Amino acid sequence: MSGTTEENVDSESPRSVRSEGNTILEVRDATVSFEMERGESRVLNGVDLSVERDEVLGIVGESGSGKSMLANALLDAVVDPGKTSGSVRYFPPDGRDPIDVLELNDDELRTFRWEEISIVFQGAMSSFNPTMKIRDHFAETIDAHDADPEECIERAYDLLSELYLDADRVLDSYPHELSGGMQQRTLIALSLILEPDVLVMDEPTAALDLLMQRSIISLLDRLQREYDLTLVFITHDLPLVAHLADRIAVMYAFELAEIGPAEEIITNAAHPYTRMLLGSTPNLDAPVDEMRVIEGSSPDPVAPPTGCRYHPRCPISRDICAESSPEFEDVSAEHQAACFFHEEASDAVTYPIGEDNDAIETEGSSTSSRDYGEPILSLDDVTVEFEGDQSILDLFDEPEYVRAVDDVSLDVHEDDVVALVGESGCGKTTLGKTIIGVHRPESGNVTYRGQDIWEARDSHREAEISFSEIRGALQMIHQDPGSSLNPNKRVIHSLRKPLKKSQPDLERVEQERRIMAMLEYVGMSPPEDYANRYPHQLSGGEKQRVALIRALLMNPDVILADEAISALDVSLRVEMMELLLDLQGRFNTSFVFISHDLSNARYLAEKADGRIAVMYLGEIVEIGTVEQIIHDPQHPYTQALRWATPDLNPRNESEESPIRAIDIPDPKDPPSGCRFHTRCPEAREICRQVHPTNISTNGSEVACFRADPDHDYWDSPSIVNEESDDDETSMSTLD
Amino acid sequence: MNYYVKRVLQSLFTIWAVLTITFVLIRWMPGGPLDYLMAQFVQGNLGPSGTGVDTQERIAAFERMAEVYINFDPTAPLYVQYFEYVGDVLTGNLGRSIWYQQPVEEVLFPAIPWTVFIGAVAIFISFISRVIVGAALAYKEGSKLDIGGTTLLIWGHSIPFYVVAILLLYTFGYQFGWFPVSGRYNPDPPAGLNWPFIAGILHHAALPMVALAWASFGAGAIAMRANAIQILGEDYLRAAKLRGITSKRITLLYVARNAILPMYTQMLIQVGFIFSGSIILEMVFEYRGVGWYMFQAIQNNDYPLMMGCFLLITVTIAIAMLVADLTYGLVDPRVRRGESSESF
Repeated sequence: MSGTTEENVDSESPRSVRSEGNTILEVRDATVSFEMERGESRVLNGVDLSVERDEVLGIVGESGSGKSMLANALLDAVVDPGKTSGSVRYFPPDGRDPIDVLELNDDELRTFRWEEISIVFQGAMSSFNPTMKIRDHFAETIDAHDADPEECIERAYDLLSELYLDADRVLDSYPHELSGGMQQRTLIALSLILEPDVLVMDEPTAALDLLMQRSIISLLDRLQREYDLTLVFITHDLPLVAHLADRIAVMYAFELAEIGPAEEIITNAAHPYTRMLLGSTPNLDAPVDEMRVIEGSSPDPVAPPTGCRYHPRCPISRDICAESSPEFEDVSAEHQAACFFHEEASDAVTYPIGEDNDAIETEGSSTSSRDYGEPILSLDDVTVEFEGDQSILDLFDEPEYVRAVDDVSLDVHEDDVVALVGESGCGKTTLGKTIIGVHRPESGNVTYRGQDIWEARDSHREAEISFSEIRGALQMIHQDPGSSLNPNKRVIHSLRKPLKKSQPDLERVEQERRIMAMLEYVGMSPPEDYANRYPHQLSGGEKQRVALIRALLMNPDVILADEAISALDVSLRVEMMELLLDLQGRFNTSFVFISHDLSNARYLAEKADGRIAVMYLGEIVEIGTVEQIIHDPQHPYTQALRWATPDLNPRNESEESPIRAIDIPDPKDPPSGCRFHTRCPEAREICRQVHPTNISTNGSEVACFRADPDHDYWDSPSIVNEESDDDETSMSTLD
Repeated sequence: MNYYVKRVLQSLFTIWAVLTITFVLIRWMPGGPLDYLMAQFVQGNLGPSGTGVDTQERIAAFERMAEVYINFDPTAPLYVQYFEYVGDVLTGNLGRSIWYQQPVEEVLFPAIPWTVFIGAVAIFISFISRVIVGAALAYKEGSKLDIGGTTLLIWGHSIPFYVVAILLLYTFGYQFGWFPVSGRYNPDPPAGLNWPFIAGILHHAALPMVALAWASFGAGAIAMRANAIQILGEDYLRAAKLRGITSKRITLLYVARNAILPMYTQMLIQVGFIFSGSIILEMVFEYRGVGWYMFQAIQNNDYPLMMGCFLLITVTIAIAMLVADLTYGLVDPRVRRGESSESF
């Protein structure tokens, strides 16, 4: 504005900020620290970063790398008693004076946030007041900033419909009445209501299904262009932002490790950590054998390693790395990495992206070459129902039933891996629990080695195989290992229980010997040390291993792993899956692996030569070998999941979303005919009327008319462009 | 079946079970109502006495009396006794008090408003004060005020309310003479809607109310503090602050509202115990409410009156629980199907 202030700016910082022209946020030496009893915990350490106007900057790091702190520091929103130092400057687009964010007082911050920069947090559900309607959240925000209510509400309507939401119904709902994906989109609309220039998103999609994540990313891409937004997108999931981001910054141990244009980071990462991270990410395009595990664990914020913080885990570290910490070095004009030896990294650490991977197509697994014997477990036309919710207002209505699993047949064989894949609410967990005899089906049979499980339960002793024997043979590990272990018991105690049950006459010494051997086997050594720990003294990965051992000590035939690796860090997932595979081979155990992530399912199923089953609204819509599902998906829904699974190859252009409606229809009232017809890009009139049965195509089974080249489907008119149908179903989960 | 229909039927079943158990107790309890009545009769305290009455007449008189006092004729077949009893109770006929020589409902029903008045006001005072104290401590979590306050609350909660009642009575009633030591109202002003009379009622009720409010205050304030601390740590509070929402609005609509909700069920349960909680309290203050009559009935072996009180207590509790379950879904939009969340 005036010359004096510009001089001021220049005298404060030697860099001529204005000459960089397009910078909207400039972060210099940002440090966040917490005073702890053990010392000062620096959860963000001297980060320098510039965010350009109208760009999408992806900030990537594992959990505990300080990326959320960076996000909070941008708005001076670090929670007490954390202290933020350094400087964060915001350059308003209309040429006003730059704002020193960290210098603002409370009142100034109140207006600055949301009007200039706003933020979207990870858990959408926990970001809304549960007892207040969505409309009030919008209204109070507008009110608090003295904005024009009419204009803002109009904008809210625009934003919500832009995000494929029915604005009226969303605004009049309570937060819990919306699905997770709807909440997250509503939260995005809420953060844009005052037209900020910068939107910081802290893991906005981490809690959502891949299909929803990917849909939101496409929507963001559009919003960003339409509203001239600058996006700072923070995530642990590198592939997710690969297509969205213009530039990517990688964080390790509370510092920036590397920053550069997205494509360059993906194809030609310079920092060894980035390269390892890329190599350890399950990825549909890369051959499974090339994925690897990052050794070691993230450092402690109180006592980080000296010198380069990555050196204890780095394969190319030398003495100098431990002595002095590397400055940013230019890899190319816009690409910097904090590594002394970044020129050597590309040879030392390879990863499959960016190189030619034509080999994969031919390499794939052998198609249904397996010879399956008698199945261990067999499901025959199984249906599971739940009673729906009621309020006192529908006092005299009969309760509604939700068919969580509808008429499913499935066999699990000896030494088999079946991966169940689908969006949340598709019934995969219910089906899993029905497989291992936890849920009793309303109709249909579940048989274990020829013995009907529920008949065995009802008839007690007369059954050929007793119910308790069956129960013991079918085990489960849960998504959250923390809550499945008794927090007040030592590991050894939790592990002795199942052993006592499966082999009651085993002597105590022998019991302990076995437990120690198992702990050692899964890599928890010294086992004596781990055996005497309490669950809170274990990391997430270690807890999951203990849960796994506990299941294995029952000597089971089948283990249900319900999202067993979803809670783990990306770099730990491959390791955990390797362990599952190893144990499967050793103990002859079959796995039923539930995941919403096609790439994890693919990794496990491909290595074990198993199958992937895709579920949609209680039905298995496609089942087959990895080769069939991943490389030649028949069902449009499988194709949509395939689209939603992030891949790293920047050459795969992210095309438009293949589904017509973002939200899953209400499971209480599933669509007629083919249940997917409301979202299917290939839907035709017949799909609305006729329910497709499974069609076998060389080994896989698909519930879609398109698999049959002679079906009436091909003569039926398309319904893809009928708008009304679309709107209705996209909102029906609201009921 | 519909959850709400199911829940109502459950409550009806509870009430029926209590009725039946009461019947069994009256009929067979050794030294129970029937024996007692018989003894009174034989001693000539009740019924026709004197030498000029023959045995037949006396038996007939006894049957009539049993009918009046305990609602059934002990010589009739058992099922007839049972149906007679249940039928009478359901039509509001609770028998006849031996001590007062009046129908039980005529003794008991006029006392109900007095007990309800004290109980309701005490619950209200206690609820408001524990919300304020609990929230204040939560906002100052970890400070000296919080540590001291919490200690005091636990200490206070460990003193039984009847001890508090006696202390209050001794200090403010006998020593300072600020409050009357017994009774429900001043006898001087004419009963009715005039200020001296109402002031007398309030004056008499003040100490019992404070003592009763004390009973639930300590634990309630600690629960409120814990709820509020949990809410204060919620992400949506932080998100609201970042959106620039004023702290007044956050305190009222975010913290207070969400922290109070789990206490709703607890409050209704308290309402349910309004009569059973009044027994000792009304004894201490000689306050003639339901509790006072019940205590008198126990002391005087006035079984019909006692049974009437028991029925009154169970029915109130059953209804309060039912209301809590049925309405929680309306109070808290998140909860459907009576999954009430509770905190104690």
